[in-house]
Amino acid sequence: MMPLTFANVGEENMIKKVGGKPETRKFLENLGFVAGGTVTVVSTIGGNVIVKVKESRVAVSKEMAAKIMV
Amino acid sequence: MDTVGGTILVAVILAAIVAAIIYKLVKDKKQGKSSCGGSCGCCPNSSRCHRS
Amino acid sequence: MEIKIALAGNPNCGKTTLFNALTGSNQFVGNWPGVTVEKKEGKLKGHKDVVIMDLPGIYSLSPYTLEEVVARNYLISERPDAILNIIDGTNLERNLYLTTQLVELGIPVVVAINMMDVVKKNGDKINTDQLAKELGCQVCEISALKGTGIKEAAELAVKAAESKVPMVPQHSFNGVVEHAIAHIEEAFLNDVAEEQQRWYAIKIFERDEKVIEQLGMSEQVKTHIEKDICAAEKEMDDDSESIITNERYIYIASIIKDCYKKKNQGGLTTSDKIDKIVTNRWLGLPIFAVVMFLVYYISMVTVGSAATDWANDGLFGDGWHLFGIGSSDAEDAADEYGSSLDIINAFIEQQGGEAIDNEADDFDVDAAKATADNLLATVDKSATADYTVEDEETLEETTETAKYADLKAAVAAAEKYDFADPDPADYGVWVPGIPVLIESGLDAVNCADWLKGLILDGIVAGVGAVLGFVPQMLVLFILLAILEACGYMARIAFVMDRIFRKFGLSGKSFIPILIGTGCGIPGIMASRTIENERDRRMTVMTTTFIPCGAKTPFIAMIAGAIFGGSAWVATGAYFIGIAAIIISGIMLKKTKMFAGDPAPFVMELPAYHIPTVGNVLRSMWERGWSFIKKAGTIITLSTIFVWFTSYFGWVDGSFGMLTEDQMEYSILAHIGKAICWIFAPLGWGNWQATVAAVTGLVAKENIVGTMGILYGGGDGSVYSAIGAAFTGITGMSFLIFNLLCAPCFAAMGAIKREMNSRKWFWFAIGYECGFAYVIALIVNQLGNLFTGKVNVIGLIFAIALIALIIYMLVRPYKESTKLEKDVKVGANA
Repeated sequence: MMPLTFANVGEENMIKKVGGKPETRKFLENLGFVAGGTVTVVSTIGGNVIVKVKESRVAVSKEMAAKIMV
Repeated sequence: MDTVGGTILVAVILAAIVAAIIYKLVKDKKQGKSSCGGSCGCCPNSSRCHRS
Repeated sequence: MEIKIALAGNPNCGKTTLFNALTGSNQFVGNWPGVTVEKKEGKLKGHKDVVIMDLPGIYSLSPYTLEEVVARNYLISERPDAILNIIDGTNLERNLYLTTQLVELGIPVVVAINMMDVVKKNGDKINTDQLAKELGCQVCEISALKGTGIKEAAELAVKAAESKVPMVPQHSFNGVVEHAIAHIEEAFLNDVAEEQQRWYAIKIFERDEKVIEQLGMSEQVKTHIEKDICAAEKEMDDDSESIITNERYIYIASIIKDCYKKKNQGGLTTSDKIDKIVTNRWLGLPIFAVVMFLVYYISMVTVGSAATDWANDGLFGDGWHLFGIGSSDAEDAADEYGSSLDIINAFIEQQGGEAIDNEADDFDVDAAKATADNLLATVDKSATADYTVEDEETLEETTETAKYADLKAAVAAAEKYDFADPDPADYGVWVPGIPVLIESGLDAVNCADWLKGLILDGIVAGVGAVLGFVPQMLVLFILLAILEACGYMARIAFVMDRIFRKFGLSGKSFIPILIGTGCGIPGIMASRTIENERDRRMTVMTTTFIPCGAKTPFIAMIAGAIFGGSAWVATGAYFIGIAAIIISGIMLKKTKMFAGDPAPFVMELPAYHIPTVGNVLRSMWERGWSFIKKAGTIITLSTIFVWFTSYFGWVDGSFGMLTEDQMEYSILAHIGKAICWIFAPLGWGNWQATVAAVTGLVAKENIVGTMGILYGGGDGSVYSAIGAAFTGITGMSFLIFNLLCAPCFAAMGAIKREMNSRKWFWFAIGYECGFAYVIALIVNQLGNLFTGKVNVIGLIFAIALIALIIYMLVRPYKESTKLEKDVKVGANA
């Protein structure tokens, strides 16, 4: 299990856990980052990532991405 | 047209224009329209400003 | 009876486009009370009593963001008669997450799947009938952009509202959860309307604080319910909120399986591929730099300046050729005539004779011809004479030497044109400039001189100067609209985030700045996407540092009058703006007031799409039109005011109208002189510049308008007068001050609205003016070092200020003070 920041570009990963404060977690979950769901990294720039999740494209900063474990 | 008549004519037109301008400004102010074009009906960026 | 229909859906799903299509111009826009979230209401076209409420875009009905709270408060307390839920067909899963929550409210729901055209193009298939069955409500397909299916969707919503049949959700959670929910309903929700019970129960199960507060549960009941919730949590080994969330996604997954057939499974879409390049760690920034450079190059330098020259010299000048008919002929003639008279006069003067003055009252063409012929005959064939040529644009003077052959040609040309500069009006189709037309009109009715002066030297000169920039503005607006509409702007924020984070800011702060390059007001309002209150305030304060559309005229004016039209001035202004923002950001972030980690950056990026021509043109026109409207209203009034106060004053103790040379004694001059000493350390402590800067507070375009009036009288053009009044250094200082100081009244109004607090508003204005003053002072004093006119005291101040700034930049970050967040909806934050 590793943070999303370390995932390879173009690889589809399954989210194992979403961490962080309840608010942060809820926010991420609302966007589609749920345990059991898939996420693919489209591009990464300095730790910040753009991912495809639930058919949509979301840009996530390093700190947030670190809380998403795949 | 003599000078006085001509001047009065032009002055009256000008005053009417100014009055119209002030009226328009006050009306826009009441509606909360900004000089951009009216609270984001204008912007293509409206999706950026408020997630609407 | 009035029917209320609420429009709900994710951000970026096309809700606003649909809202506009359904209501046309019958919209009313305001704010939800107490918060900075926009409230949009409108009447449905073609129906008498149907009101459509556009709710903010939300991902769910959780209580965590302002938009969500506002939306769900509306849905619970106002109970619209129906909900029209718009979902993005290309993004079904995430959009349905909200849908599953909406159907629990008990209000009739109609689902409209938007972007069907894109879905079809991708080859994906959505079984709407099956979807309707599984959700338990009507489902229709629309394409808000193309306009298809909209009316039908609205009709369905109206019918659902009229039928008053409450929505019954089709979905049940798993046994454990249902059990807990049933308990909650029984224990506490008997007084609540039946169709609403489920939603409340689920929220209580999730421990939704706001709902619990709203319902006013007693401690006893809370403890009782808590037991049930904990039991469920233990059994499912997860917290209640996550349980519900997971349940929802499981439900959605099953729906998707039945209703949605995707053509390409997985893989990167085109948008993704583009993003890989555009947000690449190495390429991202350079690509952005190139894009922005192109935008400004195209709008300002190429298309822009050509059009502005036409507007300034032609439309608002002497005149122009319709469609250019005749302009090349006129140009040829002008070239041919060229400096003929100057050459002839040079030779005459060399011989000690009297120069031919073709503007003298007693000028006689034949006599001049005779003199010229005589000259040709008597002059020594090897003689040369020097004459000066003045460049119209740059006012540069060069000395040329004319030989006999030149003289011969000169005489021939002069005689051909009767010793007069060829009048372009004689060639092709000539349209006189507006000032010329108005003047002749006024003369025709014998208007008095002073009124003529007010109209021509005041209004037309002032407003005309501003309107001259409309072409450039239009081009700029088109380009910005394209950037935004195709989706690139969102990526830019992401790319810049990496850099901004180093300064303690988030990339989200960059978007308002980018928008601010068009107009500062939407830029300021764009700060609403920043959740962190402190970051938001700081962004609001610094957004107006970047040159906005209204500032471009005076930047161009200074470039043209003082720096010979160099393109670097404009580019430099943008860099100064960005530098000011970054420096301010760093400095402020280190103060106690603003310290704290920037909010993490999470932003949904819409797919790239080719912007519709209609949309782009519409937004360009709206902005362009408001620019023109501003010119016609505020600026006109301002120019009238400036004209009156500058053409009336006291000369030798008596009050009256002044001539152009006597402006020194005007009312305006007196006011200006009273305060212009403030700007002396900045190098432009004269009353004209001071007054211009002050009028700039009403609207930045006024700076140009005012200077057009104050420097327009007398010989020479406005530009040459300005060029004479400022040096390169003082010009720069003037530019910087006006660029950075407080924005126009309208923008200040926006700042006040966004800050929602007097204290912050004045702090923002004070900071902006103070910062502008300091930088302009430093530039002026340091600049003087290079020209040798050193002012010791001023220099000491400048160096001290530089030291202060450097200190504020490099000192270590302080611990942030505790951030108290006041999220009471209805109270002023």
